[in-house]
Amino acid sequence: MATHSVVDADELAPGDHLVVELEGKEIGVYNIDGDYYAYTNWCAHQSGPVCEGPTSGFLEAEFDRDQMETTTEYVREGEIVACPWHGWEFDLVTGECHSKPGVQLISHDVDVEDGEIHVTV
Amino acid sequence: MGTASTPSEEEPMEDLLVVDTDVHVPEHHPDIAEKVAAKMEMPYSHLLDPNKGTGGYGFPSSGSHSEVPDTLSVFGGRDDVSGDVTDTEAYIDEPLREGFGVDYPIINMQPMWDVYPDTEQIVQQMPAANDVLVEEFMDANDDYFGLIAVQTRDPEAAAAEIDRLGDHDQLVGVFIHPGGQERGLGESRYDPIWAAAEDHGLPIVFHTTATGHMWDMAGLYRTMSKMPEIHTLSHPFAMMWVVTSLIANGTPAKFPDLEFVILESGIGWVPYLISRLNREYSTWRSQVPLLEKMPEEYIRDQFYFSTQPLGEFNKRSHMADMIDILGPESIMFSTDHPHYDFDNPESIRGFFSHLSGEDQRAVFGENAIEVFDLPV
Ligand code: FES
Repeated sequence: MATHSVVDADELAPGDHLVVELEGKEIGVYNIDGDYYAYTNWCAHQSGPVCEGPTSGFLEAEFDRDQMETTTEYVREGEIVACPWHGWEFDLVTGECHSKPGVQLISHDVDVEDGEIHVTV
Repeated sequence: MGTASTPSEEEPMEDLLVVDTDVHVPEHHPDIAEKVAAKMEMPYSHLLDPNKGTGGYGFPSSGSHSEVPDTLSVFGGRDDVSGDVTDTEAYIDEPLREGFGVDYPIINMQPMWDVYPDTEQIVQQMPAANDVLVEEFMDANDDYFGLIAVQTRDPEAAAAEIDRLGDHDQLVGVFIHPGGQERGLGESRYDPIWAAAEDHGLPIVFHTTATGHMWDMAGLYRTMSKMPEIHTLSHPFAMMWVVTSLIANGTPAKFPDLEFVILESGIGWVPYLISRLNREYSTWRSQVPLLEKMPEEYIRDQFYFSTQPLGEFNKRSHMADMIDILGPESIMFSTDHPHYDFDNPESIRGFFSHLSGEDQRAVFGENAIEVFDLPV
């Protein structure tokens, strides 16, 4: 395990992300509302470069049985990444896959020290 | 191998309680159509009555539609028992209960209302047919159970019919012949049907026919001229459409206490559909926000599949593999009496002989008793 400085914190604004290579591994680093997350750029489905996929939110739906109506709400904009290969969606806050239960992104510790973002791999 | 039962002195299926989930008393059989017609108003009464009108569909007497009943009679199967359909002793008890060892038949009228052009006719015909089912069959024997048939084009009328008959002790499910002129059944316009069935604790039973499904994919069917091609694809195609539409629109998530039973399509297509739906869901999850779990879980939790016509692999053990993939908890036995592709329980049970006694009891009776909540 080693800790690497990857970028100045003020160069990675909320909503931004970058992919860096650390110890031969590609790592995606995300700033979501001022919190930082780092994941291996590898999708458990078929090894796609998940961190190169678009970020978005998702629709939450609720069915009202009495009114027989479905209402939807778009939530968590910027907190979901979709793998560019087959679209599996991952939660960037928890690393959890929403498209397949039990699947997780490989996560790495992130700290900010002296204005720099450090990732431990 | 695999289709002949061993002759023995014992009564067939003596050691196993058998519920047959698919027994037909066809609504289009002239003896029944006549009784249904008598309960309807003009002009439908006249149209449906085989002695007066065209025998059902409300079409002129030439053209393919009005030939549908003829086609069915050609492929009617056990002609020895099909003749007098309202003689329950000769039609059900002797061939099916004594002959095959079925303890409880679940009877449906197999109405193909989805292909009728006139909505008013099918809305009128629905209660008339269900009343004939009760008077001629439910009232004949307490061991008979039946399915309330509903048309789907007027969902509110279908829901009202479920409310009208839903508390009858012997009516244990809702029968839908899907396809024809209808849209995908997952569309919310059909929700009143699911809500009414769920309220009455009745499972929804889907059953198509080769002739009915020819309407759904008319362009495709125009190129099919042989029964082996039409009948291979008709039932599983129609049921794949039904299950896919329901899953993709979140119907089982909207009605979590509702159960669905698929008849007459065999089971081989189900593992394929499960795996493909899973894959599509994972890719397009954002489009199906009502789903809270994988399609496979909805299918395993809320769907059941009847055995007949059980497929026939060259290698017998492959059917055991298929049964194991789907799982005995999702399978129900059916004969399709009296049609030409019926299955004899004594023969079919051989394909389930690798299962435990408990699992065999589930497939041949207990699953149906539970899902249809049979008072036996
Ligand atoms: S590799 Fe990521 S979705 Fe297939």
